Amino acid sequence: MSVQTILWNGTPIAFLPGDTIASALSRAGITEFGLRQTALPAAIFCGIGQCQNCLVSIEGIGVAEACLTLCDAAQSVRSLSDHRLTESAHD
Amino acid sequence: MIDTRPLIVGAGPAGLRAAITLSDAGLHPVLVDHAPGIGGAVYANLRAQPNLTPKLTREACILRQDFERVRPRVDLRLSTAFAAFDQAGTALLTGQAGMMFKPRAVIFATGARERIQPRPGWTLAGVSSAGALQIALKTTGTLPLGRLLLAGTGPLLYAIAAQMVAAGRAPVAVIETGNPLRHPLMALRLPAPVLTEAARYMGRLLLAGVPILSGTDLTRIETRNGALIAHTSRQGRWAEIAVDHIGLHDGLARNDFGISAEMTGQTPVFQAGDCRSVLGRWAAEDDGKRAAEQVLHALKATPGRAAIAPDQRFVKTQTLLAKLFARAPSLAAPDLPDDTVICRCENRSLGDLKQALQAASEQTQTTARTLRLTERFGMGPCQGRQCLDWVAALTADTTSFADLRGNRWPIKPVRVRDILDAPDFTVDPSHQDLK
Amino acid sequence: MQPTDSYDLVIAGAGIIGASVAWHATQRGLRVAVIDAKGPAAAASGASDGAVSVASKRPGLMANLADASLCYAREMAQHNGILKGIFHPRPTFIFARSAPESAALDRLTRMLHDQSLSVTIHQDGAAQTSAISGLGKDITRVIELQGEAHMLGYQATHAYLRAAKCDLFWPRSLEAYEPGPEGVRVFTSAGEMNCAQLVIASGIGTMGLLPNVPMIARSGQLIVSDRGPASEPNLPGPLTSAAYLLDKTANGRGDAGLPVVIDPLHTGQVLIGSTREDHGTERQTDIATVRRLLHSAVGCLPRLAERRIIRVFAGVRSASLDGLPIVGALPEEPNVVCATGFEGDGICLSALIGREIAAHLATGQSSPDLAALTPGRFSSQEAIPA
Ligand SMILES: Cc1cc2nc3c(=O)[nH]c(=O)nc-3n(C[C@H](O)[C@H](O)[C@H](O)COP(=O)(O)OP(=O)(O)OC[C@H]3O[C@@H](n4cnc5c(N)ncnc54)[C@H](O)[C@@H]3O)c2cc1C
Ligand SMILES: Cc1cc2nc3c(=O)[nH]c(=O)nc-3n(C[C@H](O)[C@H](O)[C@H](O)COP(=O)(O)OP(=O)(O)OC[C@H]3O[C@@H](n4cnc5c(N)ncnc54)[C@H](O)[C@@H]3O)c2cc1C
Ligand code: FES
Repeated sequence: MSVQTILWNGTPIAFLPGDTIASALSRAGITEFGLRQTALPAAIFCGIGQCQNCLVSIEGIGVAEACLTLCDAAQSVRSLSDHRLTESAHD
Repeated sequence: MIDTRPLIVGAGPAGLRAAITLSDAGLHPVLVDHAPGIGGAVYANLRAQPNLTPKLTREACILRQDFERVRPRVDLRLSTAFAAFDQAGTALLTGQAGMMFKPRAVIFATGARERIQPRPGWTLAGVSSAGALQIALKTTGTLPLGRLLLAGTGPLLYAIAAQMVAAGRAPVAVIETGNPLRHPLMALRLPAPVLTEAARYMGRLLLAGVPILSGTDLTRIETRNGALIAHTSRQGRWAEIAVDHIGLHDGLARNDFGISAEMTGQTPVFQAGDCRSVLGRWAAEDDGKRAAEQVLHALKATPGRAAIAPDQRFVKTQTLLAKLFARAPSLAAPDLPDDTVICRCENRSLGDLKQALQAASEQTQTTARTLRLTERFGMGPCQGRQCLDWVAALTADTTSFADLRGNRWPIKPVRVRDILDAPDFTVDPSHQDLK
Repeated sequence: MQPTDSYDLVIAGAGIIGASVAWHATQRGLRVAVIDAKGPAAAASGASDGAVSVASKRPGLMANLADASLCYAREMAQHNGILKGIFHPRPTFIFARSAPESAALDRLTRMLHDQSLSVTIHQDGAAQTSAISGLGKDITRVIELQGEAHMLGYQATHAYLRAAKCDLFWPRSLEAYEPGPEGVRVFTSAGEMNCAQLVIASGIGTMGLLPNVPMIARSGQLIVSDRGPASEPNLPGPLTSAAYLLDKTANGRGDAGLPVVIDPLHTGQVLIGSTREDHGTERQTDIATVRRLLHSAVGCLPRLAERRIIRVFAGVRSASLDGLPIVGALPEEPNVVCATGFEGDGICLSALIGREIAAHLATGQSSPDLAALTPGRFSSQEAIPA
């Protein structure tokens, strides 16, 4: 089985079937998902879709909870504080 | 055709049992969950990764079996959020399988939320709820890299610690605000299944040598040299523990934001499971069945069968547990520094709140609306699920939790595109027109 | 100041109008008490958008009043004035998607010119030439106005009340009053108060207090988005459909399209509004209507489709039957002044109305500009059969 990856701010991150974006990032040692708009860190907090602390921007979906969204092969995922967000949308 | 199938929100034990009961009575419910699989919080391992072979409890197996039996009659919509239910009787689902329809009955089984007391540093990356660690462990077999620490209070903390031990990742310690082991006689009054489970967890923690520091507060978290430093305090004695990840948990509360009896309009609406009353997984399943029977009764699908009353045993158990873990953390504790973030979404601090109360008290008293509009508490995307317990506690003399919370939809943030894309089954398709 | 139960002035209603009257009256040295059934900005002033807009007003008196209020509020926002940091000047963008909407823009242009208002047209042209990028293809024409502003109702309400040296009481409702030679006896849910003059600025609550003043509750649903990604610049000012202007004309908007306003908040969030629904309540928000508003908004600004909605709410505008506010002393009761019926314009008019009512209360003289707003206009119509 070849390893599947998502692109986190452009960097490939491996994931397993059934991984959420949060669990894939966590396995790769990434705990901070950029900054929230209030300047506090974006990161997993409640783990079940209630706190909105883990929001990321997912290609083809939009802004969503990393803790609820399953990984899809080659999907590009970015932090909300990533300023390249709109540029990449126009690529 | 107008879609009027009954709606069940949440596929945890309460929602699953409700779906089974309705299906057995011949109905075809819509069961929606924003998570990518069934099981809810406690049976999250029902949606474990295919490469894991989770050890399922007997209850989980039975629940899954029963659900699989009725599965063809249930319209299960995963990765799909329930967003709203309005007075016109329209329900809005968004996400992977969104739609608008007019359910002729609704059961909310949206579970519990973890109460987590604000502490300086609780907004740092690497600090999460203890439940978040558990859900990741159950669904993917993973825990964040490095040293783990659990802190707070309540029985769930020990379940999670024991599950970490079983996964070979024992926490550095469990820091417990309360003193549950001080009342062994009271503990013995717990029902046998609860006691057995507790004993199993404690045994595992003892065997693994996990220190349980009871009567101890986690007062502050900071980062130093890439690690999280947990500052603890026990009767005035201070200590520091360096770890990489901290799981906090200060008990459970109903996740009933945006869900109210007022929503009903003409449609019968019921709550079931932890979102009605936090009584645990057995009660949740029972309650799901009860809510389904209430629906059947309301729809006259089973003439003459009245709904059964909730089982009082579960209430007694929870009351006893609450006593055992008494000395609930109180935010009134003036030791919290003013820059402690209370509202994570809008980044509002305890100092901001105190200042607002002070300014208001010079002329008159503040109101829930002012705390929301002007001070922004409860106005962020979590809609107050994390801060309003504490804001209410700090302003108890002037505002009520209900006023602070309001009752607005969507019950969680939803993308505009998803709202527009949801197919509309509230009207005959030939009459559909967005303009 | 020690609370007492005797005042120069009691104001019933701590919305933006009552608050503005309170501050202006204390500036003139009056001893004032403000009571509210719930609290500050508990009704329309806390559930509205905050456009301080002249362009959206009916030509004639309303546009003139709005312009005067706008200019006065701008003054109060300067040099540490009371509205500093609350009144924010910004451009307004009004667009057309159809021929009737474009005709409305022509009428707007004429009104701004004919009435020599302070608001000016900065640019008028095709969507592509406007300062806002990414407009929807439905939009054919955009006018950019300069001179208008934004002011959140609850912020202004709080600023006025904080600065006014007066007594505040809530929850305390006005239940009845009795004018006499000595002044007015005021009966409230928490006992009796005495005052020389009473101002009823109770918004839609006025309906129950003054049954002879005919009003309708016209509710509006509003939608609030999240903050959006850091990379996305927020709009420089509100994007308003010309259908709003048509709503206020004799023929209505016909099939000109749903009126929609996309209003940027300083947080980076967007407020999308709003409907005009007769006899609505604060509780009434519905999915079908919100979806229609969003559909219209996304047609105007497609990137909104990626935003997330975090809250939907409704506010109730108190509207008069003839579309004009109801301001002035009651016909038979010169010591009782009423100020309500501002419908969708109360934030905009609050500065002027507060100043003028305070002047009237302090001097007994009332401004001729406000004569047309007198509540007396309804009693003279009583003879006309329905
Ligand atoms: C994080 C966490 C971990 C827990 N772990 C345990 C444990 O190990 N052992 C134990 O006995 N108890 C545990 N509990 C307590 C647990 O709540 C109950 O025991 C049991 O899960 C309650 O069942 P329920 O069906 O009422 O709710 P849940 O099992 O919580 O199910 C609620 C479901 O509703 C869904 N939902 C919520 N909002 C929406 C929405 N807007 N749209 C769509 N779907 C929605 C959720 O995704 C969830 O699947 C835990 C609670 C939490 C919060
Ligand atoms: C959706 C919406 C959008 C709007 N957008 C705009 C806009 O962009 N620009 C603009 O200029 N205007 C706008 N408005 C209109 C504006 O909000 C109102 O005109 C303005 O807030 C009215 O203020 P007020 O003080 O007269 O009334 P309110 O704010 O309604 O205040 C009345 C107060 O009186 C109190 N009260 C009621 N009865 C009693 C009683 N018996 N005793 C004591 N107190 C009582 C209430 O609790 C309340 O606090 C909008 C309104 C709505 C609903
Ligand atoms: S961690 Fe709370 S919503 Fe994802």
